[in-house]
Amino acid sequence: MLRAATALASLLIVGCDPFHVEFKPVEPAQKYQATSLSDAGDVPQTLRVLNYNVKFGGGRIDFFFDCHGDRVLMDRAEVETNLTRVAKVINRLQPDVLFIQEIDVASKRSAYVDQLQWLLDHTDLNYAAYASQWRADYVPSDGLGAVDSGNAILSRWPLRDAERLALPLRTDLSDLERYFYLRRNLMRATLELPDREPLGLLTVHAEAYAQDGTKLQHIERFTEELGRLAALGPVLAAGDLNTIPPKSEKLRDFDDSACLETYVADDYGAEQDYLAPLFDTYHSDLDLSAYEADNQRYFTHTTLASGFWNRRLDYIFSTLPLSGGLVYQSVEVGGIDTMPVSDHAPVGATLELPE
Amino acid sequence: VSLSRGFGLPLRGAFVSAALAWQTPAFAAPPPTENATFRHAVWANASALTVRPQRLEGALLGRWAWGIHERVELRSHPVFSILVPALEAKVQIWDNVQLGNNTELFLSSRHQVSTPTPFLRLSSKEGAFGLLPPATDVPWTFLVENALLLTLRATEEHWITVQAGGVLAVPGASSAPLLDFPFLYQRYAALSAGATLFFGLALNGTFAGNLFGYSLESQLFALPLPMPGIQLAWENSLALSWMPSDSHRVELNVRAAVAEFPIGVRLHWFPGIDYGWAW
Repeated sequence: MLRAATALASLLIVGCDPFHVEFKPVEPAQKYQATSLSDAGDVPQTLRVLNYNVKFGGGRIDFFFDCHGDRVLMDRAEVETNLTRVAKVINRLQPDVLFIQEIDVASKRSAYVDQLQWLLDHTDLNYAAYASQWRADYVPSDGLGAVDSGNAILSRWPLRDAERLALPLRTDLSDLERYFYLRRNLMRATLELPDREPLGLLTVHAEAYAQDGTKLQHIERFTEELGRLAALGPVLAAGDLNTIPPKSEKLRDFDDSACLETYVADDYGAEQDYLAPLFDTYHSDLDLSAYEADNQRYFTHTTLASGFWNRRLDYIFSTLPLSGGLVYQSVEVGGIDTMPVSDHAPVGATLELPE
Repeated sequence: VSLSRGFGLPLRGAFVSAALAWQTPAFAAPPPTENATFRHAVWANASALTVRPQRLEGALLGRWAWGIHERVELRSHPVFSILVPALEAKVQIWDNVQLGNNTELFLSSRHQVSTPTPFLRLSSKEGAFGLLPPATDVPWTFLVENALLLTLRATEEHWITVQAGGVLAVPGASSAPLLDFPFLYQRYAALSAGATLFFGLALNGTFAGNLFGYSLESQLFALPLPMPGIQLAWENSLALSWMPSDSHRVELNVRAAVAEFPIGVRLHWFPGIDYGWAW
């Protein structure tokens, strides 16, 4: 009887989408604009590009999901304090194009603050496109409640044709778990540069925890879409690929691993070549020979605020030359203390536009 | 970084059903069938009529009803009261007020005291069905609900009821996170707002010689939550019941609500089924 009731409930929930979690395979991304537009000026010969996973404005609060603490919800003051730190980093680095992962636009955990609009209104960036990767009117787990979190591309200049492309879902979850779980995506858009050829943009936040090959599928789809866009014109792509580069020395047993009983999210032993096709084909902010000489200098992630960045997960690729690739790790390396701001460090580079 | 744990166990759909049914106003309501001046409903419903004395009605999910007096009906649920202890009394004030053309008017008041604290404390947990964060301090709070119901019987088989009322949180609004779970949101908003108001309109009746009953209900909730403006929630339900006798019935229903949540306006719906019996 209980099994039948559970099956019926699962069928109703999964089949009828009462919590509005589902997306079409391809759908328009949400467009944003700063309340007050900043003067973008003339398009320079080079663009400053930044990729930043901002951890939904959670700063270094110890949340339950990375097993360092038990926090679930923030209040508005905490969120705005953390967003102020993010905006400070952005305003210091002055990107022309900014790729962001894990930004909340309507989530209970971040006091329902529309963080994308907030950042547009507190930086010199004017336009944005947003693709949700986790949306539910209510996630009935751990008190999370309503969630709308995803990826965004921000720019000084207008974006057009922004679309959200659905990525494969995990298969190693029950139907009900998968219903409420993240729905990752690619987002593509076109950057309108005055008096210049449009620039294709692509971003992703690949699967982190799956044990069924979903992460590799996401990276392959990203690579495939990047190739398709590259055939049409110049492309700039960036994101949190949730895997390490070739030539990485440390593959497992990281010092910030705390969720040892629930899952192992950070054994990259089988992933050393996942990104090889991207490095073989495109320009990157990361010079693999430099990385081979000193891995740590290019690390971008740790969940442990008291530690130091211990792995590389975030990248910028392009069909156009990239130079000056830098991970803004600290005051010493990058000139700004980013450790308190997010569990990822921003990655920057300079993109050379064609004459 | 993202969530990867939480749903080790399937969501208890029946649990949600129960939580909803607990606050469901009534089964589809047939009108009195015995004579024109009868003040009692055969089955407990959302109108101003009460069930007849000594009649006890049970249901799998919906509340049970007991006629303890000519004009007083009590409602509760013997099982779900473990989660949400609640007791409601409906007191008939006027009955059979003749308005002419065989139209009759009934007026009742409805009073309920409940406390969702045990349910919320149980729902304050890690993983699946954690509606509130595990560390939430859920204080004891009682919801005191009072309403007036005015029922107009225009024809032998069809009734219309309007109601207005409010819910007051005692000792007051709590600092626990807002419970913005669909349907529970408007019912428990007083926990965060301190008080809420509601207005309702219901059509009840029977057809096919009282073999089937129907109920069409609409309620507007005003929720003065600690956010800009006053949030509104509009909930509607349609219920159809099969009543082979005065002692057994099966009901199918669907409930839909449009509500202003902190994330914006959302539409949710929920189907249900229930079986009721009476002694």
